[in-house]
Amino acid sequence: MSESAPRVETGSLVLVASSVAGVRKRCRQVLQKRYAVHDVSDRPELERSMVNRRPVALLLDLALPTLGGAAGVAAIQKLRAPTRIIALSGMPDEREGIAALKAGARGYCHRDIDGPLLEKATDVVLNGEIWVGRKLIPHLLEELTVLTEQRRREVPSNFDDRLQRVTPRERQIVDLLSAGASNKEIAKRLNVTERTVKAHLTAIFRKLGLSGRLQLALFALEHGRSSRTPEAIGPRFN
Amino acid sequence: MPPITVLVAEKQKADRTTCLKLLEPESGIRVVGQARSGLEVISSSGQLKPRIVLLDLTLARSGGSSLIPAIRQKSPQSKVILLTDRATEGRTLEALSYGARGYLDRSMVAKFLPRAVRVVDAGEAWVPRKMVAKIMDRLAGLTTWASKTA
Repeated sequence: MSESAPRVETGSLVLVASSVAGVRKRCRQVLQKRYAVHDVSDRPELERSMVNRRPVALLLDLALPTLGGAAGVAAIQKLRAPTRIIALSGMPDEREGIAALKAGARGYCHRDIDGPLLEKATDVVLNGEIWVGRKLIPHLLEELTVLTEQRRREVPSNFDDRLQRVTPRERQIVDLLSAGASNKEIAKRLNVTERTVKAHLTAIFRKLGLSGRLQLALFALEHGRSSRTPEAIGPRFN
Repeated sequence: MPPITVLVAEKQKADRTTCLKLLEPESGIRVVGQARSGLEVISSSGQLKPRIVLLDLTLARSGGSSLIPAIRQKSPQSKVILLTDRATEGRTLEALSYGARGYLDRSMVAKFLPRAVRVVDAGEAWVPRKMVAKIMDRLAGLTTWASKTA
């Protein structure tokens, strides 16, 4: 029924860990058509089964005693890296979902999820994909953007060094251009010809290793050299 | 409810026309501007503060810099949806990590563009599930990096 049946041998073992008998029973009923299912109700048993039974997937109730919630997924994953973990939550929310995924879970859902959906979640995760609610995805993206920006800021840019190589006159032109001035406006401001401005710009692009006005504007924005809109840069289009 | 304002930033005229034709009949969505170059995207984002920027992936990057942080800086409330062509997964992922909130392959535009605009405007992402695994992998890599430098 699933559009993408996973490439695992039939009879592969799925482990279910929950202290709630009803959860164990339901997971077993849903999955035993396609997989061998073994269930455990406490952490010591879970740890033993992870090592000895080598499950392809683990459905892990985050309320399992002594697990420590979502963050505890990491320690269980460490016991056996190839086992794909789906975290089951009694009350899913975005923060817990992200924490579980960051701790290594490949799926996150309500522990009372419908049977067919649980089956699909298992298939998806065994296919190497991620099973999460749609609402969680923008939060993952936000997290990704924050970390990417953090790295961009912390990996030192040599732009400031390169900026040292431009002359004070050229520096004035960088400031005017990144504030949005056209060549004509820069020429007027500095009381030189447009041709001279162009010659300066060529030198600036070469010294900064940039290929044009857009790159200079982006660099200037990135390095806080201008907070104004570069609306006068380039042709206007309507 | 005020309409969802959209800036169409496509390099090719034909692609801009396609977007306009699809969005103009939609109630509750209004195209407020068009841009065809990176510089125009930055200036129009700052002036128009659109809720959605439809951004041609080929415009999203210039040299070593991504346009998306600049858009976000000029108009922090704008949400960027990338319009992509096949076989650009690496660059799409990069653009998502710079802050885009979804992407739509051009072959899917006719079918899904208005819905993608509404969904992203409502705060959700528009990405296929296959990409979520790649987002997670990248996130895991960056998390490791962050914990090493912290």
